[in-house]
Amino acid sequence: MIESYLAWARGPLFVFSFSVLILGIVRLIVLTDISVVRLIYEASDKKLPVKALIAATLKWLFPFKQVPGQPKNRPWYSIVSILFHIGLILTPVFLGAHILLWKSGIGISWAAMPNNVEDVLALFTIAVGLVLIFGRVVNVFSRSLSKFQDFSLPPLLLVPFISGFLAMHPALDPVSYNLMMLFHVLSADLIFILIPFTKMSHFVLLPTSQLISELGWHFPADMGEKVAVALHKETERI
Amino acid sequence: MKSPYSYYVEPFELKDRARRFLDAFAAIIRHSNYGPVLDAYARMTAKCSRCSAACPIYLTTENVKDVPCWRSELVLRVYRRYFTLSGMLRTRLWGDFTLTDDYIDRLAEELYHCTACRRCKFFCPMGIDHGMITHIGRWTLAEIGIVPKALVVATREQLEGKTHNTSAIPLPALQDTCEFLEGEIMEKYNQPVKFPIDLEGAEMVFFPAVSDYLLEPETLMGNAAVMHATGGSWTIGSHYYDGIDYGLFYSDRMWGRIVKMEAAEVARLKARVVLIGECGHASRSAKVGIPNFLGPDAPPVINIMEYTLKMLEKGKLKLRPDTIKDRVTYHDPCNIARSGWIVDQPRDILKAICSDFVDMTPNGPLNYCCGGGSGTVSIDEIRKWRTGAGGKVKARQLKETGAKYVVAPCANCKKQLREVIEDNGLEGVEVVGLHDLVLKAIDFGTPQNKEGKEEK
Repeated sequence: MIESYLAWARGPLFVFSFSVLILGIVRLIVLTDISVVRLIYEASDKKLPVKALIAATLKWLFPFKQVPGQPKNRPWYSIVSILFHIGLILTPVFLGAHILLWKSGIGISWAAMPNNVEDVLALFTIAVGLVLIFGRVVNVFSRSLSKFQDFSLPPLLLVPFISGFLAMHPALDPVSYNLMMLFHVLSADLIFILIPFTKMSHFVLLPTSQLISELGWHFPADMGEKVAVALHKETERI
Repeated sequence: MKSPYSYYVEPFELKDRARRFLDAFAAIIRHSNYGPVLDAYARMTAKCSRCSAACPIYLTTENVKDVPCWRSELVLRVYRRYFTLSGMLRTRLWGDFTLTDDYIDRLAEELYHCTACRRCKFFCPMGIDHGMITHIGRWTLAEIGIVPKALVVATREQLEGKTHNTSAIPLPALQDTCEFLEGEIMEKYNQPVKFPIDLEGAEMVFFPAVSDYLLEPETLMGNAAVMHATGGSWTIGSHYYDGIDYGLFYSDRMWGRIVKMEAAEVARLKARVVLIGECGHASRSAKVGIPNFLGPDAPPVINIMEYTLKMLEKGKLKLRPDTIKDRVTYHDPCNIARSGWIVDQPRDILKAICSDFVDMTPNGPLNYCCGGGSGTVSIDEIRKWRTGAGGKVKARQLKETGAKYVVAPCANCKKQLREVIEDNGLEGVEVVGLHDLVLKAIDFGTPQNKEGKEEK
């Protein structure tokens, strides 16, 4: 019974969710690029501070110590968040078992990391993830800013890590291997589907965010008149 | 009608507000470049609350309503609900919030609790410009008639009034003031400094904050004296002589109309350059607005501090070192410092004339807003909020420097800082313009009038 569910989750469901992920990312990239091109085309002043934009984009990959001595800067939150991202990306991509699946599935493979590194990295990601969730919940301002998405996504991201780790360590596994794997695969499938539609899509949008922010201040010369016409205010006195 | 907000408003249409708000929002999104920006922001906000550390208002009030991200969410929520596919789907499937009159009132109040200083942009890992969101939200509100009365009345006089300036100074009064200032300089410094009016073919047309003619004679005398000492080719235009642009604070439609008047005056006088006086928002409104609203043929925009430093470096302007013995600090107006445009120029000038210059921390592009940014300084009825929530952090900064003079090359910052100093009990700190001090230090090369050198 569980075997057939598992086969379905890692077979058709995986293909579906991974396709959603890839197509969703491609859609976002295409939409963003169209936006950027359109914004530049529409902008009356096309001179952009290119160097400053590149610098800002690169700098924000490491969002700590931006402002030395700034109160309430929460540097630990930033550092933990970076570590979480590192674990989040490296672990699934360079995990030996995953690479084997890729190889048997579509015949491509790449270097895997050693088993004990995998274990450490998985535990590490779980730990920093928990710290991050804790940071959001205990900080009254983070908490009051946060919506359902902000609370629910980090725990969801940890599910495949925890279930994957337990499945690999039968001695610790409270349920059967197959059931644990089912949790693992289903949660991963769900994440793939959600990425393009939630704030997790920020990894696609981040490279252009500084540019887009700048382009907001470069606008069509006649936008005021056009807005006036659209609102029937051409002749209205102030 | 009693104002429902902490600031006065003129009577506005109450019928169908939500629909008209959305119509205006839709028109703005469609015709500006803000749409894709909002779209990216609506997807990306991570709610990490790092921006709270950036906001001087939040640092004082510690109220979640003053976290930049929280405020931006008010606008982004409307965008998500009415302008994205997922928002529409969500509403059909299980309902979502609806834009109500109460929500609009909340927006109207909260968006004027942000001084749009844009400091938080530097703290956002996602690069979100919360100041821009405030800017868009305020424009939308303005299209349904919700604007602080102080801003709209001044703009009305500037665009449709007889005097064409925000302080309603008629031309004869301006001419009188200029003559009086010329006399003052003659008396104090024995120099035939001129305020040329309508000098056709001059290189630069001068647009200070027009209130300087009423409130900051020393700054203007300093500006003119620098021009005189360096042989600068400049003029004041009699048809239009105001740099102030409240459009930047509440409506891009007005912003465009105002900068077009500046450019028209430059063209009328066959000049080449827009020269902005000591004013932060006037500088930014022209620097960003003129190339955008006028297109590729727009005249270049410079700030007078850039000019003064260039002349100092070229050796055309001679300043006597150590003229100012008291401790001096410099307040960066957000509108010129945030982009990194004018940060070092005034400091270089000050270091050339002051023996004791100290900087505040933080400064430059990361400075704290004076608390009166984005036009809030002109709204007198919110002074308590401005100098309290808005100005406490700045007051602390000023106190820490122990400076006698705080140089603020911005008409709005000057007014606000004076009120901050008064309301926060910082006695003995004097707010001056940069050229007030420059004036005292210019070496005109001719013998000085001894009596005139006495400082007041």
